[in-house]
Amino acid sequence: MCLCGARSVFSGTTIEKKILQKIIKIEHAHAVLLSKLHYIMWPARSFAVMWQQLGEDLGPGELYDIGFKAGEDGADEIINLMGFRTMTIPMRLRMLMRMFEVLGFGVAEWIKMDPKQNQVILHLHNMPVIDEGKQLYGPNSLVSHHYMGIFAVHMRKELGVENADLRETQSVAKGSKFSEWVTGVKFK
Amino acid sequence: MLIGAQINELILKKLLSTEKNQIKLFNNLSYSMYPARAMSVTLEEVKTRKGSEYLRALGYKTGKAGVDHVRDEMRIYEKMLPDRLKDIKVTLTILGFGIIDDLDLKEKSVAFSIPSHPVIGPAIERYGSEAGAISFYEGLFAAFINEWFQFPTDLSTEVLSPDNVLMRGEKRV
Repeated sequence: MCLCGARSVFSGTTIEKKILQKIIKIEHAHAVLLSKLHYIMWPARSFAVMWQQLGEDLGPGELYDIGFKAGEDGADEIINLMGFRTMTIPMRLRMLMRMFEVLGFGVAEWIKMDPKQNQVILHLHNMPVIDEGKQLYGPNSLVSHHYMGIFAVHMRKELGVENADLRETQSVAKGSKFSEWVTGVKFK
Repeated sequence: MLIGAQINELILKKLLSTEKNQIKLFNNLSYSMYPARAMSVTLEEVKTRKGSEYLRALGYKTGKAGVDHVRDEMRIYEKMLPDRLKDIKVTLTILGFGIIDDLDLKEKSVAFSIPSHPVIGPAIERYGSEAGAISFYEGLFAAFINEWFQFPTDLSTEVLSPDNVLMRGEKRV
């Protein structure tokens, strides 16, 4: 089985899209990157319910830490599979964010990205799991903390931001149109 | 594979589509993805903190959220859906929870196999046959069996290999 709507997802003319066209396929209802890295593909609601429950039972700091730890594996595999070491930081950034977008991690808008100064401000739009969390739990949604952990580990490993711990300064759950995440003290 | 044809049929009928680079079922049910190996790490981290029983309950809640959501949407689109797409195996696959084979549902027992699961397989390779992923998916599949067939059960797992596990359960009374 193939496609699952992937043809229209990857249509376009930019270099990144053309590269991604060759590296991501949908097989057996999960996505496969470069024929090696497997992604599960769930309804956003199922993810939201799971992260919220973990956030309530373990606390948002632990939910962040689990995302960070789980993301380490994925980040290492992406670095090796996509040959990130040979790319410039801007190219890595474009590739990574485009890939996250396609994988359903939302659309990232980098307001500030200075790895040398460890200064990052990120706006994340249209993240389906965070949106679902808001719909289900309103301002009490904790879902974004897990994804902050995931983005933090990718920023550290792929983009070289040493102090990549993120905190949320604008929250979709509390009414913002996007999540604003900045480097700084990790939420605990 | 048969599932591929069914997915393509959903695309042709515009029940599976993309919007703002997101895959959507019935134009409403958004999907997101997660690295499968990373999910096995996540579930093991949860097991370390909360134990296997907690993971089973978490899996049940996660699976029930998925099945409830898709059934709500299926009711709206019921007339457009071919009967074979209403099958539990197809729905599980479309929802991305895995492919099940040899489903044997009797009056008081249920059994099925799960071949080449992208989370369970790596979890067994890394953490052995007591991996947290197994407990989580026991709960998740139990939710589907219960919601689909009104068959409440607690599943147990026999690991034949990382690429082939069997799950079984007795009907809870």
